[in-house]
Amino acid sequence: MTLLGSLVIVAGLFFYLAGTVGMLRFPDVYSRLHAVTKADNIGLGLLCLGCALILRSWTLAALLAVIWLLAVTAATVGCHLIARNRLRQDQGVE
Amino acid sequence: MNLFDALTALLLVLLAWRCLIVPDLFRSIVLFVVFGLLLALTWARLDAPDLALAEAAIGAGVLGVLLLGTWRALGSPRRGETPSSSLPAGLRVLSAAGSAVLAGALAYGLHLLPGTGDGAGTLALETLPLPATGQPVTAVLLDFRSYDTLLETAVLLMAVVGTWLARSPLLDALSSEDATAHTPVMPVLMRLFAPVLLVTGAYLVWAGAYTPGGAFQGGAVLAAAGVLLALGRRLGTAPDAGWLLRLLLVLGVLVFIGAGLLLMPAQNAFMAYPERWAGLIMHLVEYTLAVSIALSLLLLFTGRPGLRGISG
Amino acid sequence: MMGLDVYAIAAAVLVGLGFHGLITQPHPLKRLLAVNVVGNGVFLALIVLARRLPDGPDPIPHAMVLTGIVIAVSATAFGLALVRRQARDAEERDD
Repeated sequence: MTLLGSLVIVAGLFFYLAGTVGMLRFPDVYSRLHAVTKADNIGLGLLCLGCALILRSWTLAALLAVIWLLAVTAATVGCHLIARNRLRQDQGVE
Repeated sequence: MNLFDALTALLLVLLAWRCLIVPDLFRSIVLFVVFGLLLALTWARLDAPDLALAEAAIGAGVLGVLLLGTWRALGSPRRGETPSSSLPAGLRVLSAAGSAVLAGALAYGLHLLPGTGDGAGTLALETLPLPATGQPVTAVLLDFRSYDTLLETAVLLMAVVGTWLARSPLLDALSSEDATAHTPVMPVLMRLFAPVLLVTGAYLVWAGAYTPGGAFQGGAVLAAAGVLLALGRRLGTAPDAGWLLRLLLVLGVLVFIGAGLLLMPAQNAFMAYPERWAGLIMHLVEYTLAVSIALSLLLLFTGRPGLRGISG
Repeated sequence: MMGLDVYAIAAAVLVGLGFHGLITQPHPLKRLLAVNVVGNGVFLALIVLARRLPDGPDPIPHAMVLTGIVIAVSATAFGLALVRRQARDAEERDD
């Protein structure tokens, strides 16, 4: 279980790495947001799953699931608002 | 000491340095919020989960909203690039050298302190009615150092009054053209998050007696629910505070002082509680303080005395 | 002797950095941030000291830092209100 959990966590870290590289390398706000939110949501999910596997407790697993759900919702709304704000700025300028 | 601690400490310093040095004000604020979150991680790492909660909720959360809101409320010429420095180069070098000496002296002083020893904490842990509360930090806040806590809530109230007197409400300054207006996502977020925040805040206050948490952490989370509703335009400002709002605002301090004064004849000292009642009084003070703190933090954000609900 | 603790060094450096920022930065908002950085450095030093007790961390510095965090936020919020007022007054003078 511990080994499996560790592997899942490492996989999650890889997604985080990809998201961060994307944020640093992509040219504009929209593609950066795309990289960060998508990759980090999966990364956080895998991280929570890995922790739950290592801890081997249903209560903690449920708590981690709630944390993941809330974080994903907040990230989605934040991403939407940032993109919307940027879009308005672009339209205002052009 | 291990690699993780060294990296965290290094990142803390780097973030603070970048935050103070970047010319763009917006970046500076965002870096400061990230600095606060990393500090919360540091508290957790240094066996201070109470502080981690407080820092994440108050230091990074509430303060972050206040900073970003103020940035937005500043006129466009004032919010962009800040001038690097108006001081002549010689004075800048002098300031850097002086600050470096200060930092060095502090590090040396901390280094010289004895590594282990008796602190005031040993005394506190011996005398506190721990069975009544079970959580040392909450017990210290409400019993051993109750003057601190009482005066701290009074400072919070003074800050609220000062903000009213400055007559520069933040919420009204956030114009209606910002991105939160007229989007289908905000109502959904509010319907989902506001109840969750309320429950979490109430839980943190209740749990403060047994596990990390307490009036300040819980109050900050409750205030966050209010800020969310205000940003989603379900909670507006009013020019005058009603009597209920005023009462709730000072309730924590009133109950705190009242409990101290009422028991004074029996105990011969202000805010000395008899052993049998200590737990009950601490709970009562904790709950009322949480309400007052939550309202104060919310009013610091809206910046005007009154609140009114807006039906959507 | 405490030995070399990375967090103690970081606390000292934060105080120095914030102090330098407070002196050299002209923008009032930046100065508020600098004061907060100094405060956080002091908090960090206190919490490092709280670990000196042999059995568990000392709750008194923890309680004091908790008080300190709330006071720092109150003072900063009031400072921000003053910054907004100053900016508004400056705008009205310009018009």
